[in-house]
Formats: sequence, C-alpha cells, structure tokens
Amino acid sequence: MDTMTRQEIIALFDRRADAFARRDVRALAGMYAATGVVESPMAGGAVTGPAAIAQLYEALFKTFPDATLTTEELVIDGDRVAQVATLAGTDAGGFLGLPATGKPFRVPVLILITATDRQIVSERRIYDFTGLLIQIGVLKAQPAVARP
Amino acid sequence: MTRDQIVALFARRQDAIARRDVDLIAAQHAPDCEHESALAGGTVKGREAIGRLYERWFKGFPDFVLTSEELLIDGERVIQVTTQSGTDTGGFMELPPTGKPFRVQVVWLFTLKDNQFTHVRPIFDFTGTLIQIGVLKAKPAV
Repeated sequence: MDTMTRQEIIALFDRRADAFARRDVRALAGMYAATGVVESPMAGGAVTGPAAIAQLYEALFKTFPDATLTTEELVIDGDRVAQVATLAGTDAGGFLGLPATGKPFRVPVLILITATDRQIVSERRIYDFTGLLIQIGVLKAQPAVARP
Repeated sequence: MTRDQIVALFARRQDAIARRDVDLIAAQHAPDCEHESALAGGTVKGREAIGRLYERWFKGFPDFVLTSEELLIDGERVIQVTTQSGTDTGGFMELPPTGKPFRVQVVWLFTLKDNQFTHVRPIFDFTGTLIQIGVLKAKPAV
C-alpha cells in the first residue's frame, strides 16, 4: 500500500474539484479504487465500485445541473482526509424521479475520505440531508408537537 | 499542542460528557470560543452560552450518548467523528417530551489553541434528528 503525501492528497482534491466543475463523471469515478465505497444519504446507503459511483455523480448532475461543491478546507491526517465544503444547487432536473421543483439548496457538508495508492478507497458524506429535501421542496416539514 | 495532548483533551471531554459535567465541558473552551449550533439557530459565543447548549441536550435526552469513532488531527484543526443517540424523555427545545429515540452521525470540527477549543462546528442531519424524535413531522411535498 502506497501512502500519499500531503501534496499528493491536495493535488487529488484539486483534480476532483476540476472534474466536478467540468461534470466529468468518468474522471470523477476514475479517482476511486476498484473496490472504492461511497456512503451517501443521497444514495440511501453505500455503493461500491467506480461504475456505481459514476451513477451517483450522474444522478447528482442530472438533478442539480448547477451543482457546486465549494471546499473550505482539507483536514489531513495520514491517509484520512476530511473535506469541509458547501454543496449547493437548484432542483432543475427532478429528484429521484419526482418533478423538478426549481428550488435551490445550500448545505454545509463534511466528506470523510480514505486515500491510498493515489485513489479514494472510502468516502462518507455527512450533511443535513433532510434539510436539503425541505429546501428543494421535496419534503414539507411542520411541528409535530404543540408548544405548551 | 502535541497529538498526545489533543487525544487526552478529547478523552477528558468524553468523560465529562458521560458524567454530564457541563462546567468541565465549558471550561475546555476558550472564553471567547465560538460554537456554531443548529439548535441555537446560529453561533453562540463564550463558555456560559456553550454550557447552556450542552445542558439543553442533556435535559432533553437524559440517556444521551456520544460515541467517538475517530479523531483526525491536522495541526490546530481536529475532526471528531461521532455517533450520538438518546431518547427525548426530558423535552427538547422547550417542547413536551415525545419519548422517541434518535441516532445520528455527527462530525465535529474543532480549532484548538493552548489546550482549549477556540471554534466548534458540528455538521449533521439536524432536521432528520428532529423528525426522528417526533418534534418535526415531514411528508412528501410533491
């Protein structure tokens, strides 16, 4: 197993940001190991392998054609990386087969990654997914408990 | 701070949370520490205000558990990956208790200086947590 240097990890994230901006799903998926795993609320769990991960990105870009992932910082500890970012976009494509709502969202997101051999072997995305669904108008929330 | 000092700081925090020692938890923060909080609807500043945040969680969820899974340490920045759980038997956000449990992954972002936290920011599915405990009700809108 080849340990990546800090500079190599930063370069990997730069390439990832560039591919995300270009909507280059092939390049994004190619950054994962053959057994790479992504856990994402939007996926409803974990998906394994570049082909399945590519589908995640395709679904994201189809639903939110203007999606942006703005990195605030990288916290790097050996092969573990936390990407602190803001994910934003507009539901112009329809979420999970639902009609497009045309509403925007913006949420802070924390992406936890293990990177070895110049590839991503695991990725976990943590954010207020329920809040995102409410922002884009797919879910409607109301108080369930009356104030005393 | 060395890695060992940081690990020890978080071990003391873990112990204080388990013992509900709000004074000790608050004292680990710098006097002007800023703590971003979905519960507070923004950022609170200072030990007293931060202590009140913990009191609200402990009052709402007397069986509150914070399980630390991992620390990522990068200079003065620390990420703590946790799972938090509890049962709303005390009443959360000044509402009547619902008796319902929650379990959620929470990632905490800390900035450290001189053995104290100077900035704290948890990221998690706060809205989903409110739905789990039955404070919020959600239904498909489309």
